[in-house]
Amino acid sequence: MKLGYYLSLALVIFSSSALATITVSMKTGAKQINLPGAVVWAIPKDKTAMSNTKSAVKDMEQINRQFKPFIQVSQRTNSIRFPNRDETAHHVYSFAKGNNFELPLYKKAVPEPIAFDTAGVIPVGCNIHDWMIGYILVVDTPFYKQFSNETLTLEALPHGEYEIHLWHPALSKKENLKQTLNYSGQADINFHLKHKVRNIEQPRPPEQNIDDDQDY
Amino acid sequence: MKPLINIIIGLILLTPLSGVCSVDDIEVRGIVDARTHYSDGPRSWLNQGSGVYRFDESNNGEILLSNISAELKLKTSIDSTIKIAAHYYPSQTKGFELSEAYWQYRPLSSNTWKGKYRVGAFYPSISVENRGRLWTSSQMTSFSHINSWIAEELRIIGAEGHWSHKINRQQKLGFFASAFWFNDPTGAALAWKGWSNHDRQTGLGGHLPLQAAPGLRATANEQANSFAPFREIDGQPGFYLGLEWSQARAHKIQLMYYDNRADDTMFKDGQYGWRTRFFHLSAHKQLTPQWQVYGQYMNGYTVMDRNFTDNPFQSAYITLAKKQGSHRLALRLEHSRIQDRDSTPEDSNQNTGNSLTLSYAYLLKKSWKLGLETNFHNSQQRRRMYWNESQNAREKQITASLKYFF
Repeated sequence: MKLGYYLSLALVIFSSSALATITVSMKTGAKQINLPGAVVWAIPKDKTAMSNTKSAVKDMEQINRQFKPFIQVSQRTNSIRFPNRDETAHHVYSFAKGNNFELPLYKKAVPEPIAFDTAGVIPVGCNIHDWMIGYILVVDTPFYKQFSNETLTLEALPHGEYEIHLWHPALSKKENLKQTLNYSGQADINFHLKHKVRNIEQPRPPEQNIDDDQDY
Repeated sequence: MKPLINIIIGLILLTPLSGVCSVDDIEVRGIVDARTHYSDGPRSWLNQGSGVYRFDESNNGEILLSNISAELKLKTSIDSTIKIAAHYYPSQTKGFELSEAYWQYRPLSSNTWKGKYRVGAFYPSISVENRGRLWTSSQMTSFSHINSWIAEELRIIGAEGHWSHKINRQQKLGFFASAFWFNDPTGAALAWKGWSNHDRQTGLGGHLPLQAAPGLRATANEQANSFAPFREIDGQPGFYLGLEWSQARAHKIQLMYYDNRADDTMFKDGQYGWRTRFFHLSAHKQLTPQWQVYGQYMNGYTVMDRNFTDNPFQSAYITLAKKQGSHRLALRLEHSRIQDRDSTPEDSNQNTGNSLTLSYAYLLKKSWKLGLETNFHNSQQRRRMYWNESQNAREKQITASLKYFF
């Protein structure tokens, strides 16, 4: 059999108490891969397991004519703020269903945060600077985390049945990135990917020197 | 001149200025350019000669204040901007002349379609060379033949719509169209002066010197002794249409058709209508992060007074350029022609020009830029016989420029 790309999501659950810890890693074949910003979230079947504590407002800045971070994650009904740290105006928008918004942001403007009510991916753009793109993932659970290196740990999860999800813009939409987990001890989950992990990086802004015109 | 300025101001005042403007939304930028040069060849066309450059032997070695240019961008709302650009060429203009003044509207429409609209006086967005501030080249001091001509005689005074469709993450397909007025004498300077290499942008309502030849006296009406390219003579609008494809700002190809639809039999205030039509093709390709190649090709013709003058024209250039940190290096090769198809011996405009330009520039600390450029220009121009000059001229020029950006 030809070796394809696949990703394994290994979950190691320590069930010594009522709260569990899940360690997650991604693999292609036997090799661990690093996809920073990729989001893992766990939706408990028993909704009472979700302590609906509002986390602090998160930022998606515009800095050096790029969104920072490239991927932001937020629990449904929590808020995201879009501060403009640049010396130029940005016109930030998204046409995402249920989460569409438009923000005129002049130089250094810090707008009121926006609460997103619909779970899903929100691609964010700037109408003035075409290359600017960022993503907000709205999840309907307090149990989520983003990869910053090769392993990720979800902590303080109550025992129970979960749907485990994984998302990153580089992962093909055709992949099945959802699995159910009913654990009472330790569990491993592997996502076998049939499609190539695309090479998607945050687009760099064009070079801007004193003699360049921004309009080109 | 007055009606033109009134119309432009009127168009700008029609824009939704009601939006809240704060001081933060105004940007003023500009360039002060001092130069010295060594030239060898005929007198400059701006000095009543047949030479192709802005400066000639008459001020070799002098330090000249070449130009002061400034632009103002005012955001009246997040999707609406007013831009005004002005140039002053000491010894060549009396003061500042407006080169562009327009309102741009860029509404947010959908994920895949984007519209951009301009109303006022502006350059068509066709130059892949003049992508720098105030319609200059960030690589070179002089403009190519095509862009020198656009700077002299072509300006859109009207409205333009540009619509682009996102094909995928990288690629975009664009369409644009415009209706304009006040560009009826365009083609006169090209036919009666020929192709040049300079960086002088004619102001709206401005004039350019015209070297009198027997043909001028043979016309039915008395042509003024200067070109005034931005005049409305017949009241009919001209138009252009274009199509472009681009990929991630690294590759771009664009095709455009321009027709000023001027009535070539009409004459007003010393200027004829010149019916000028051309196809224009431009392309830009980023070869590596440092190296790029770009070029433009133009093919068209201009007609005046029922074929008194009937001149097909073609021009093409290609530039190989490198930008690395503060260094800019560029080589431009170009070839241009004007054919004389009419049977008016006293007005023979045949012109062939080959030009090679090598340029190096260095961004000094903060806001200064030092440029060195050399140009070699060989041309054959039949009009030179009217002034008892050889039809063939070899011109060369070395220019050092120091620019301050504010």
